[in-house]
Amino acid sequence: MKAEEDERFREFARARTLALRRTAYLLCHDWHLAEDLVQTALLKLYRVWRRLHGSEVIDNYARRVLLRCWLDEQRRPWRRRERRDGVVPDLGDGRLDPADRPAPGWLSDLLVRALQELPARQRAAVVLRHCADLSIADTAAALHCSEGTVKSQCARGLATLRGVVTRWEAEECHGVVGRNA
Amino acid sequence: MDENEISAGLRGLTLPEPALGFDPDEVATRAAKRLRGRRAALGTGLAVLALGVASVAVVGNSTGADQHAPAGSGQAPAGQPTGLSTSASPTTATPLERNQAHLREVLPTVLPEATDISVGAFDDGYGGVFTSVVTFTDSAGPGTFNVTVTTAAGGAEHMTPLAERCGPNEADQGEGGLKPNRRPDGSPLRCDKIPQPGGGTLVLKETAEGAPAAPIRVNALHASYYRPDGSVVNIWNGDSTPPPNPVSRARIALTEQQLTAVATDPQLRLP
Repeated sequence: MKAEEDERFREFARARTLALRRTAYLLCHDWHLAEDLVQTALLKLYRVWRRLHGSEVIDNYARRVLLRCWLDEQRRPWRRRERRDGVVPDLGDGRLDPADRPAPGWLSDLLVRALQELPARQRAAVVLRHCADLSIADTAAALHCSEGTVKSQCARGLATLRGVVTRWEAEECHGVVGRNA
Repeated sequence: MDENEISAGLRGLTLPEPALGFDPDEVATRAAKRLRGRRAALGTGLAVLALGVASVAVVGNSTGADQHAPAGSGQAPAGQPTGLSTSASPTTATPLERNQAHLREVLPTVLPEATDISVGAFDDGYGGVFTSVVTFTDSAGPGTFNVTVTTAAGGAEHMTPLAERCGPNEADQGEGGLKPNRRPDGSPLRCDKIPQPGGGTLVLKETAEGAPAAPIRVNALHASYYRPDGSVVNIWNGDSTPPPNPVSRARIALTEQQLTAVATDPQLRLP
């Protein structure tokens, strides 16, 4: 690869790594795995970098590669999956009653946990469309599927999320009633 | 909490992002080193191959024997199925363009009742995976299927290994899968590995629509043909109409016979 292309890649990597890691985290809910996925995606992206032109194309392509890396990771047999037992940051329980937890991050924490309840493709569609705020066309390009599929996956994903959140809220209410009884 | 609130919440997510645990520049350096390594290995391999070919040519000339097939004869290698016959021009620029021309020529015979057959150019997806979208119209209305050819390297990197196909670790197999693994009547979805005459293995696999525990109907029969050389031909064969507004149609695009004919066609070449 020519020096200017290499430098262009480095600029892209510096500029987009955090955004890619955020997307990866929303998919896998594990910062360490998210960083692994981003590094793998960058390594793969470098191989085809010469053929990519235009920032939108590159962003879409990078998301597509990242997504593929994550789906590949999902498919790995349990015996090859690493055990990750690092220090878990004390972030509190996002499922606690919002009234008891007025911290601004409780809703985000709740939704990130709820995202993990979605099937892989639905989660990918919701993360790209709603969290990364991509257009339907860009989401379809990243997922390599039709725009209709994106719409249906997002609609089902949001409905599932709503069900999960409602269920957790109900469980929390029962817990509170149980404790007060 | 309604779906609008959830959507707004997702757009405004605030995450406790830790500091980045790696240096992007270091990753770029590692990527460059890997690429150079791959190229060096490829160069060495090609040099060895060239030497081998040259040696064979010298030996062949010295004995006066001409054992080479005519160039551009379009014949399948010995031991391979003969596949679908075609007269696609051997002078077409690239293997992918030859594949497109070949499909254009043979699909009217594979799908005799289809009209308006359109074969899209093979895209350069990524990492040795090339896909063409085929659309057509038959008695069930507009239909579509995708043909993907994958190089041996791409297959190793992006395809589930043949040994793991139809097993409990496949994403939508097993009770804990992400997709339904049963038909609406409760019988298991089909996933068969069928050995082929040329030494390859054809995997035919059904998928169903609906929640994992509540399948609605079988909506696709996909094929993956694992060739002996490690390359793979995939046919995504569902029951949806073509983009941009796909809806379900009365039947899946290709029958099993048609699907097998296209997937195992040795004339689908790799770049």
